[in-house]
Amino acid sequence: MRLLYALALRNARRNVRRSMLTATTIMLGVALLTCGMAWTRGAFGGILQKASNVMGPVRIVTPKFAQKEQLFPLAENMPEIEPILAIARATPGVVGAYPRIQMPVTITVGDDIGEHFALVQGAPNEWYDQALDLSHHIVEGRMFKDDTEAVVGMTAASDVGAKLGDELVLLGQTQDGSISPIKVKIAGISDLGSGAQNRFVYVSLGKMQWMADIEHGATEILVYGATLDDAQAIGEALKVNPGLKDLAIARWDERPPFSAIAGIIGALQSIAAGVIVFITALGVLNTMLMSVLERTAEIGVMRAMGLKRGATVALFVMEAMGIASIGGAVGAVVGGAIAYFVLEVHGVNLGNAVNKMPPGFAIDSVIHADWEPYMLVQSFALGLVMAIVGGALPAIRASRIQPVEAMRSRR
Amino acid sequence: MTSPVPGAALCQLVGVKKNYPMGDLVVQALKGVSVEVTAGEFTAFAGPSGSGKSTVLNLIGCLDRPSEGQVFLEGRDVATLSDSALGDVRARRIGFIFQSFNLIPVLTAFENVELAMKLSGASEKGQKERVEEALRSVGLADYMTRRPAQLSGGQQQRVAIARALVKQPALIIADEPTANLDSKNGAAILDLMRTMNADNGTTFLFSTHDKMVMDRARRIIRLSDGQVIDDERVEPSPTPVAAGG
Ligand SMILES: Nc1ncnc2c1ncn2[C@@H]1O[C@H](COP(=O)(O)OP(=O)(O)O)[C@@H](O)[C@H]1O
Ligand SMILES: [Mg+2]
Repeated sequence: MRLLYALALRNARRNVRRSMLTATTIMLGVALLTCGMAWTRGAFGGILQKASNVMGPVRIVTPKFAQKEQLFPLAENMPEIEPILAIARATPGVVGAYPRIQMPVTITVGDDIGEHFALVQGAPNEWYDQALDLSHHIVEGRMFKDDTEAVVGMTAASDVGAKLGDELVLLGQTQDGSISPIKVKIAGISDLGSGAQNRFVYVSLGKMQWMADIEHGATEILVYGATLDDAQAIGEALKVNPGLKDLAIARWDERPPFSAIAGIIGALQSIAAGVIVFITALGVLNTMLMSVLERTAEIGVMRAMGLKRGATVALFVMEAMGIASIGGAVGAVVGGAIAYFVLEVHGVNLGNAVNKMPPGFAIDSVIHADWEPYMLVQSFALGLVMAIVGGALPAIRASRIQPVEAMRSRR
Repeated sequence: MTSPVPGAALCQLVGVKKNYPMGDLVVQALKGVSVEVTAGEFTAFAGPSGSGKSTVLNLIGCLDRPSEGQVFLEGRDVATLSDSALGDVRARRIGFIFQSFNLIPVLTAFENVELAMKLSGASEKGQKERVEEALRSVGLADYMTRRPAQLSGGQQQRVAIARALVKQPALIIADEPTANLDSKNGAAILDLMRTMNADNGTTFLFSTHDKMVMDRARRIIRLSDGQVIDDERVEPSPTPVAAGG
């Protein structure tokens, strides 16, 4: 009813101070939510994007490799990769498919016998470009040019005291387990922004195949779509492809460590949002309850005149939502501005704390939030949810007021 | 539309008791009241404070249910009606006027009357005209867009009368309608109610402990300590305004 609607909105303006208090509570809640959303999207979104790039959005390996991949089982390789690469590249949505071999090595400079461990990685140059953007993360020197050169992560380099141009000896294994040393010249030193990535040595695929004695093969094939969202469809298509039926195909988030944490991140986000909504709703509840108690007589009058209980509830919920739409709009804009200008453009420096993260978590030291326009709508809507949750109890209380209260109250 | 037939029993209380629990005690607000009200009456319930006037009016107005005994309204036993059916009866058949006016402060005079009209479920057609007519009949044609705070006490109670009248109820219940008004305004309100009673045949039941108000009633039911002690019919005076003295 139009009159009821007008009544609710005018009631919202009745005690301006109290309504301002309610609106401010909702504004703060909504602003906090907006910043939280932008922050988690920026922090986790960046981590997930990077991690999935490094891990490969979809990966093809042998089933036995998948079982014990922590041990880098070089023997469980795919000896002929060309037909597999051809199948992957012909799959709709795929923009790139690259072989890769990784293994742990000890590294030394010159004739020293080193005790320093590192991971060496061999892949095609296009993979280094597209997945790591390695050439833009070289802080000294340049990208390696051929099989005689390597790029070394800055942590690994400083571990062994290696400088540009030094000869680096990597002591690894072949696929049948015999010791296999190689020598490379350091062409560049890289900083990919994370402690884990900076402990890698990057060489060409050919060098790695030679070192592991896997002449035409690789242990992994990493498949990329245009965006991370394409991984779903690509993964499904590859899993049903008869040409790959003896191989293990997995999306990045189906593999450790993300198989475990993807769900947890989502749940934590929902809980955090739920707590903010709940606390804000308590504030709304407080002020709305005061209004209900204050208006006992007039609610009684309207009930005496035939106002139904449901309409009484609606009257107060509409009032709370009216207040919330102002508080929520301001909160969404203020929160969005903070999220964008402070957290996104400026960023927040977490310092060295993130360098202790395990490999696979490629985290930047400076985290930038990622504010998106859809958050305006989403946080505003959550502001209305706060009003409904916080307004419901007082509204129900109002609807319990008996018509006889109209007679009883004396002022 | 059932218009009240003069002389027919509009409402009837039979051996009505009302108890209020007060902690461990029980307050007997009414101790067996039997009263019959015919359509078209202009009746006062008189008695000192605490004698049970409000309680009687609440029961007749379907705002409450008796602890014992029966309440009949237009021939129907109120006890047989559900809460929502009682709500409908109140919305359509009964108008209320309260001691403290109880207008909705954020609505204009017009909207206050309009709200009662809408809640009564009256047909949309001609609502605006009926609301205006009701306000005109209480002499507030020029005050329709004012809020209650911009009106005097007497004017507010006139709005309340228009609000009660607009749905053309069978019965208007007024609990101490003049208690918050000075004697001049109180007399004017009573005269207005009496004019409505005479012109439209609307039944008025009101409570008071004010001699001036009692003098304007055509029937006075006296209550004391939850019981009827006197029921007196007064001959209609030809000039009600002069009766106050
Ligand atoms: N809701 C209630 N709870 C307890 N006692 C009540 C309640 N309403 C009325 N009473 C008691 O019932 C008696 C009659 O009250 P009431 O009908 O309001 O009298 P009046 O209107 O004549 O002043 C009084 O003693 C009053 O205290
Ligand atoms: Mg009373």
